[in-house]
Amino acid sequence: MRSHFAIRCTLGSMILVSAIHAADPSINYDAKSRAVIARGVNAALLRQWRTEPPADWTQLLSVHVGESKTAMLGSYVVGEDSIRFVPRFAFEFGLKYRVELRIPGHKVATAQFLIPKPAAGKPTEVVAIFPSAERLPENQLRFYVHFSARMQRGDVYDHIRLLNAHGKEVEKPFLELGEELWDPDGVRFTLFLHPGRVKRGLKPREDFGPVLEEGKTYSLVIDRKWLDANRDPLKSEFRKRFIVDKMDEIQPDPDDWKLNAPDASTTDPLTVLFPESLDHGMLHRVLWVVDAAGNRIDGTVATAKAETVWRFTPTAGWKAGNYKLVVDTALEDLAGNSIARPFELDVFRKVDRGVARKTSERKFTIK
Amino acid sequence: MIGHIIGISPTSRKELDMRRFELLVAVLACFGVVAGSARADLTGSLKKQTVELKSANSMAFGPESILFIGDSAAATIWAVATGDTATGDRAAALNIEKFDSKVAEALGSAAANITINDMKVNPATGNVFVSVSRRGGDAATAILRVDRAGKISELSLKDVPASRVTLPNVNEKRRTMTITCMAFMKDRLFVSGLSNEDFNSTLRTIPVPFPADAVKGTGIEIYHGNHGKLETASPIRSFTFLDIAGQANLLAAYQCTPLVKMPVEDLKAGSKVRGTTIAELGNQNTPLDMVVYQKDGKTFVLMSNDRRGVMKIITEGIEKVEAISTRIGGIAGVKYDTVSQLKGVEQLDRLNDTMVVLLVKGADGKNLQSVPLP
Repeated sequence: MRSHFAIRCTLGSMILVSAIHAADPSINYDAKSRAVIARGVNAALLRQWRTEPPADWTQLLSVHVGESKTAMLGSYVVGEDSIRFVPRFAFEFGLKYRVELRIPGHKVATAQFLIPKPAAGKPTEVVAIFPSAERLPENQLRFYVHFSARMQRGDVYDHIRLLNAHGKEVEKPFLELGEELWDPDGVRFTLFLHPGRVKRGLKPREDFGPVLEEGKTYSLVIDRKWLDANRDPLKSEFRKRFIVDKMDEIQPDPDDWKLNAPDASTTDPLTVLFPESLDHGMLHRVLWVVDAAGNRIDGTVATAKAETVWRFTPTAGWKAGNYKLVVDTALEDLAGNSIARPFELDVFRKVDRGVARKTSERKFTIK
Repeated sequence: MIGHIIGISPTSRKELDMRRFELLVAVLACFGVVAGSARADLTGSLKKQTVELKSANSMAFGPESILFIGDSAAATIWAVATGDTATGDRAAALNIEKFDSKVAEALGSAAANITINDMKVNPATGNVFVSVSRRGGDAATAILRVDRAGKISELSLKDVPASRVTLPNVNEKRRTMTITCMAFMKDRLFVSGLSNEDFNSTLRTIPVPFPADAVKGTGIEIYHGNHGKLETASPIRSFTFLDIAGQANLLAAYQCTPLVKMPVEDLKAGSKVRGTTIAELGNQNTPLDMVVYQKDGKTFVLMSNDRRGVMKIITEGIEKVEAISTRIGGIAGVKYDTVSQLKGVEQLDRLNDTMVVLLVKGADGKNLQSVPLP
């Protein structure tokens, strides 16, 4: 005879969906340790399993998603009076789980539970798209999409469109990579325009033409349905509108930059002005300041005016003396031309700057 | 993928290796040298430890069932002795419908919430390994093994013989490098990657057994021609090894569609190499996986693409194909056929000498299916 079987809610974050079948042992979900715990199992069996674990735990205690027959992977720990199942991947909110306990000498017990979705907080939104310029070169290579919170990976390209001035979608404009290029926090997504259509002489460009055409206006659209890590949609759709300028085939050259040095004893920023917009992501990584002894100065970096201005604010006040602005020659402009090499290298054109140089320097003095 | 030098079938190569080994032992014995283990024991170079993965992207098998696992988030590559043994009939087909759902259910998740990042067949056993991660939240990662009876289990990474190498200066601040492809050949692991900031071509070559320190150097810069006048250094997406007229070549497929060959002996750390563009595959394909196989005495490369499907590249006469130096109408360079019946292929690897195993996106989920090599 089946008697009532109760599943207890240990820390209040589990919803009892059903309680069917019955036996002596009880099944709990412990929200704190995110584990399923079976108690009331024959003590002699527990002693035996502590010294010699069963060959197949899933025959005794198994946890499943919904009605699936596949037992979840996880580890089993035998305590003094319990068996604890810790899933390989933590239980997910929104999914229904089923526990089956088949202990010899006890009645079969099953239970189901559901992890409730955490209360929705502030909706996630697109906070910026870089480059921030309103005019981009025809051979624009990449965009950075910044979100206010961690996003979910997978099928991101379903949520990004490039529209022309008439609102018509540009066909296949992006390099779609299954790996998806995210920063470590999952809040910045890197989107490449298809290099086969940016570079000249390649078949995709011959077949479809360039993605962007000089003089035309486009909108990069981020769909609201793109889900964040909590599987909630974005607060709203986001559009970046821009006008296309001619191709940029000129490499950035640190000798063209204007440096404005602050006064000694202040924490005013060192300001560097570029004649063109440079890559937002790289400006925060590949440009730094060293003192006369070559020691790196601590501080924070900010960009402004469509990434044509780089500001470095030191943590401590500037001391009078000679300094260097150091730049990794990998630094690129919007079209992927780096200090070291152009995006497309004309093999018949003499390239004066050696590609072997890894950093370039500009000196400045604080008075 | 594993670097089979083609021209010698795996079986005959093994025999050849054995003959060479016997000859070496005989020679050493002649000189009174105590040979010990004349053949490098790779597993013996590994140390028992727990492998903690932050992520698992690309994978590759080496000898002795050693699995190389690329952990891009940690800028680390692991070599793990899987201890994998053959179960079931290796000649039999392997078909699992709704494989993504079964994998997800084993991980307490749903198919929509997980990503199968890579799939590789252990050439020593015929078992299939997949790297899986959860899409949101904690982005947990696991390596699962599918035996030839279709049973899915987890590859235990606790207290296993393993070794790791760290790639220096690749993950810095918000910059990450995603490992896109790895392949082992002889005593080196070749690794291609793609950065989320700079657009560079660097192929790394790492000695195996792994060096004690981080991998020094910046890798290899590879340029290839677009059509003669312009050349570029874009990232390699996928690659394999191919014997061309007795010379081991790395055959690389690029994001922007050219297929490029370069001699393996030129690929030394810190060098700048100019690859030869032998085909432009066109139509915005993103190459995914490449395998080399032989059929009816001829050698082919099977390559999956996100849009075109699966392409069978005919390598006959590849040594005579001239570098693409002018724009030619249609597809230039080496010849290929599109295997029209194979669509939605997301992962591809050689299951045995006659079959390939695929992860195929269908209307009702992703299926693991094996088909004869075309």
